[in-house]
Amino acid sequence: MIELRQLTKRYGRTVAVDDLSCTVEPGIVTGFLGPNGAGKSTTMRILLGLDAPSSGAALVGGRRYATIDRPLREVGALLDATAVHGGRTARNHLRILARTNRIPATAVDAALDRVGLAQVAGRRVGGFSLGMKQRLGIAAALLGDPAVLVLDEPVNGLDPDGVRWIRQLLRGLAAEGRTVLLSSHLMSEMQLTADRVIIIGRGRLLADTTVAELTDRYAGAVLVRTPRPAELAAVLTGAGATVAAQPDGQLGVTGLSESAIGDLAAEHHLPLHGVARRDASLEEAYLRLTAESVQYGTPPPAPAPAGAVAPSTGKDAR
Amino acid sequence: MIAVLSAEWLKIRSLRSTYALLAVVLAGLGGAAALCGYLVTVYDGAAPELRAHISVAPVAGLVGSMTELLAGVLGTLAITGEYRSGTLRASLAAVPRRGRLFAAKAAAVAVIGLVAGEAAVFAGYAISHAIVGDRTLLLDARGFADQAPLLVAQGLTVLLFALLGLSLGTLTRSAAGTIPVLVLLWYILPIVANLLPQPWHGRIGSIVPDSLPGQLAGVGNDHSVYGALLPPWGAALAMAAWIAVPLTAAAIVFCRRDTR
Repeated sequence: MIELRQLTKRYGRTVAVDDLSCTVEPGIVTGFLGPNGAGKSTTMRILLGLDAPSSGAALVGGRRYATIDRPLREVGALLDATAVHGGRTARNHLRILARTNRIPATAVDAALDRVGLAQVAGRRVGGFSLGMKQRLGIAAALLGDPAVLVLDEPVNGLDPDGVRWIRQLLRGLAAEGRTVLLSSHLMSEMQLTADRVIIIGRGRLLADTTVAELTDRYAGAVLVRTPRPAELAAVLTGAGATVAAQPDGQLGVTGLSESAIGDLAAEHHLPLHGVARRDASLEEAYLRLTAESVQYGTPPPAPAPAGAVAPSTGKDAR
Repeated sequence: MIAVLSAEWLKIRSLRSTYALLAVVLAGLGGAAALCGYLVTVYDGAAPELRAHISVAPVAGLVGSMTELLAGVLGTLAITGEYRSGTLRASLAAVPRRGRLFAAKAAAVAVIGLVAGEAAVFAGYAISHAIVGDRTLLLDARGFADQAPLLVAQGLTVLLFALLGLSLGTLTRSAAGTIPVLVLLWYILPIVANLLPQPWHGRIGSIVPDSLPGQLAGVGNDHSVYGALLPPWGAALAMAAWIAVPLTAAAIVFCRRDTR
């Protein structure tokens, strides 16, 4: 289990993480989402004792990470897959980490085998593709058979096979009762992998909920197709719904369920040619939730002069 | 601590740059041997009255001096390689007690610096004496027992430079920022000292790292640009300060700084 307690990190006047409190439970995959610069990486670095918090605390299994004696046996982390010394072989990279925590050398080959790198164990990491480095980073995280896994953008650079492999791996690890915290910008992937999501913006907690609740909360309008839109709109408005005409002539109805709309139409003998709820994807829910707090977003299209380039930090793509 | 030390040892051992630097030391020994061999042929072919004018500088000191810079680079890369590649994050996640990680790294660098230094210096001495034999062309012609303290002290300056590289590399986080400083202390500062008027010529010339072995061994620094104002204990103190002051500063910074 991971607990953040009123975690705050300031860099000079910039507040990177602002009074963040939440809990990451074992047995499920928890997604950690937020726009660039929202404070995800900072939070993860504090969690692993790499940065010191300005105030508050980040606890793993009830303890500060820095006080754990052999941390790789309790927490496996992947922060930046490209952070490997290109001159070392994959096996030596893992052997070094294993030695520090007295993890038996046999675990190194087992981990390389598990991520599909056994064939290239003796090759220098400098020649690895990003996907291979991601696999090596995941092997490093799994090395100590930890109960807690913290992974920053683990699917970045993986091919579709690799993306599916890691999804199944993480879901399997969670099913074994481990705590899995995973950040990613790929919302579609997160929707498939995560059970819960923690969303932050400008260092503050925006949502801490299940994926199902979130997509439900931002569920789109019910789209209704009818040859007599004006009459139906009047009926539905009278029943308390909000109705907006869509560009394609359909009605977008919010505030009434599909069945209530069907019943009202039947009552008033109005024909319906189609009734469908447009489900919000995690992506839509995320974008609406974070729209207010985007730090380095694309400027709104209308006022932007032609040829304007959206600023971007590139920090998370490192 | 032993586990962390063995990991740090493997880190140094698993990089090609380590072997490249050690290969340069071997090449330096080969060059010293070639130089001695060449002078032996010149000496043997020279008229007896010319032979007194042929001499070769102490080869052990020459090889040791070259090894100092190489060890300094090795010590630098031991930490800047981690900053540059980003592996320091993984290293600190594996060993969150930073003092322990830094101590282990310093110990690994110290061991390799000391062993490489003493080995290079003693090998340089042995090679030059084996090739020259009993010809009178060596400046360090005194017996081995008399030479041994100086040779040990010259090996220690290699250790000094290895740890200085590690300390400066930790403070600057950059090999490009550290290596010029090492070269400055190793080569340029003695030249500058040599150009200074007295008493600064002697003062500065007596505390630069390469001036310390002769003073530590109590044999002075004849035939060199270095001064010899310090007694052996003073030279020992100066050597300890060259190691301890930067290393302490680096350890403090390493333990406090965020790892971005």
